[in-house]
Amino acid sequence: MPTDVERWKEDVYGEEIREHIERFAKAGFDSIPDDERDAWFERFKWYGLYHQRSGQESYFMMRIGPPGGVLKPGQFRAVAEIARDFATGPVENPEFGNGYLDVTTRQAIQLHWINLEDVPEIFDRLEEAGLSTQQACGDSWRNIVGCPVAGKDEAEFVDARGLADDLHDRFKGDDAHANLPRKWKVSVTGCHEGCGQGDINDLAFEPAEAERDGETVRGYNVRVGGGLARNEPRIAKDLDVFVTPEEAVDVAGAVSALFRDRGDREDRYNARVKFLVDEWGIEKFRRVLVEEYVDGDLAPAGRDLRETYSYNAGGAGAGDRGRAEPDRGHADHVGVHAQANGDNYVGLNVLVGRIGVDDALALADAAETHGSGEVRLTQRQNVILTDVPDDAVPDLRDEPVLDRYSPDPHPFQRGSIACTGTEFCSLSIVETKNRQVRFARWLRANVDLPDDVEDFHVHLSGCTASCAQPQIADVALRGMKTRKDGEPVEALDIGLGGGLGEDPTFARWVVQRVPVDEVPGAIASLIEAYAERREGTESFREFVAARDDEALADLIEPAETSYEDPFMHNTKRTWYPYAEEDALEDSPAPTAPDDTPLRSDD
Amino acid sequence: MPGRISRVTGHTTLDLVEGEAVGADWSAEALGVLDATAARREPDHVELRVELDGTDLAGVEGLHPHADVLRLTPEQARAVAEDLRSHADRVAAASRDPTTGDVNAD
Repeated sequence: MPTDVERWKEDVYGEEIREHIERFAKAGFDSIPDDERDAWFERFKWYGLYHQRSGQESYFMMRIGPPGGVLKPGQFRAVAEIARDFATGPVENPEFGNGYLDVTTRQAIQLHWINLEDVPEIFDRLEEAGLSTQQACGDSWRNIVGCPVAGKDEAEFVDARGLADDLHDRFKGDDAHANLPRKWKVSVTGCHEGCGQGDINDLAFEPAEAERDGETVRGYNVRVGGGLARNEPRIAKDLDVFVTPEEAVDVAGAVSALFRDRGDREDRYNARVKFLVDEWGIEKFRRVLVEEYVDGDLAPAGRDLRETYSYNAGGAGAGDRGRAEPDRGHADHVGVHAQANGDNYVGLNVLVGRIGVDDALALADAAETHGSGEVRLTQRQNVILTDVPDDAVPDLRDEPVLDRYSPDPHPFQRGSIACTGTEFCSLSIVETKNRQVRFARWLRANVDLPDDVEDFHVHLSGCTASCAQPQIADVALRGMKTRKDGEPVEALDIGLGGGLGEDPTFARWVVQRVPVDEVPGAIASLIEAYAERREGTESFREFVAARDDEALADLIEPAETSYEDPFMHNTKRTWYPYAEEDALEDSPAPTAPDDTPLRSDD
Repeated sequence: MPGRISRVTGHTTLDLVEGEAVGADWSAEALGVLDATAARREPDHVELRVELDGTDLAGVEGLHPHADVLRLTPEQARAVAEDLRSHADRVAAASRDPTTGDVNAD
């Protein structure tokens, strides 16, 4: 017996959804029959539209997914202008105003407060710019992630951009792969740093070399079954397969088809491919793939580059395994770095991934004035301006907008990631983005990291869905609730010592339900202990690995400090956490595109 | 290792509940999570899940982080719901201010 979602998908799914979106948009949000809304909202996801949470009825989140995070010249401006013209709501965000875009951990952009009536025009404008929302959400090929500087990086091993684009072109819109049991996340890495984060994807292509006909050829090893969600994180498993770039697309199609046919369509909680790999084991997975889904055999895995992986690795990458060093590979893409052609790419820190529309337009100007106009998105929610000649770097640095989006940020700002949180998401338990901004500011002003520590990653996720990837951070924060002075308040579980690299490890959760206003104090006490007790240049991740949970918990001393948190109340129960009148019954939703209520209770 | 066993999201019935683990000659107070749910596909039972926080129970030897899951028939679930409602009414009535009739609750 299929799930409701499977039945809805059987009736209407894939590209045909668009005509229904346009039909409802023309007739207005209220034209969607009440008893069909769950089904239509589920289907709309395939076209990148998520209906926002309770209290925000009639508003949608829209996701735009450029493969590998590459926005060609003009595309970032086009998205910023769409955000300016359509992504505004009835109340402004006190930190970011009204009109902003979010860079996500899958190198996509999310817009909020989108009205269905505006969607056809937005689709037209995106298509004019060469962009799409298709399959940005839903049960199919999601945005293909990968090295955001593929094709530019001077130390690249294979050009991952070509494969990311090929996969995008081949499988987006392919009916045979449009309706999978669950989301399908694919990563392509071509560098020595491992910045595609393949280990947390359903299907990962990772740089490798092997012998073919007596010659050494470069290509990819294949891994399957990674992911962080559902409170059951998995590292992708080595499928023991090597492919050349030319073979990779067919093998990707074979693995996708196996998942389509054999994944669990009866239980969405068990549907991701990681659970099929759990059930079968990787050897059976490979055997079925070879016997039923590919022509001929598959070559065994080649020599990989994993020992040099440094991206998001907690200072445990190549070379000195103790700490981040400039010559050992980067942990993110922030800063000025050389391209293979002699130009530079300039990675800018975007705190929690959110950019106001005025700033976004200023960044588009800067990209066009000082570089090629191309803007790339990273999995650490940052942006990169490419093709900046040496002599243009000083002028780019002088741009006022770089005061807020710096190539040289403080480690606490550089390392901050946050998910959407209760501002818009129905899954989240706590407010996240504004809080993480405040955390980073307070930590910068009040806590000293050891001088040699350039990277310190703090990821805040609003619930166990793990959209901020907390399990791979130095300090993992996850939304909960607790009681303080007799009142229920928002709280965070704290985990420590996660990171990718050659041997990925997930953060260990060591304390639970710390009231949010005591979390900065807790982190301060932890860093103080780290600075005092570390051995030599020991990285934080190594410091954590050397201690048991009890010892780590003893180092965390939650305490009120000068940090103030304005969102401690139960923001899940508000219609919008930052509204002056924030109770659910005060919501104006559902509304017309001008934000006036559609219905009254009279 | 006090990692949570259960998923906890905005859809969880109660993300904050006070409780106690009780043994023959020991007890430990703990905060916890309670969730009532049923499968999306052809559900054949109601699941009632309780997980007390691992950190609060860390001092109890041999008690590892875990969740307790009860599978209730619809009849059992209704019986529980009826009892809960009935006792909730009694507790609310007991905490009502006799002069104003207002409930003295959080």
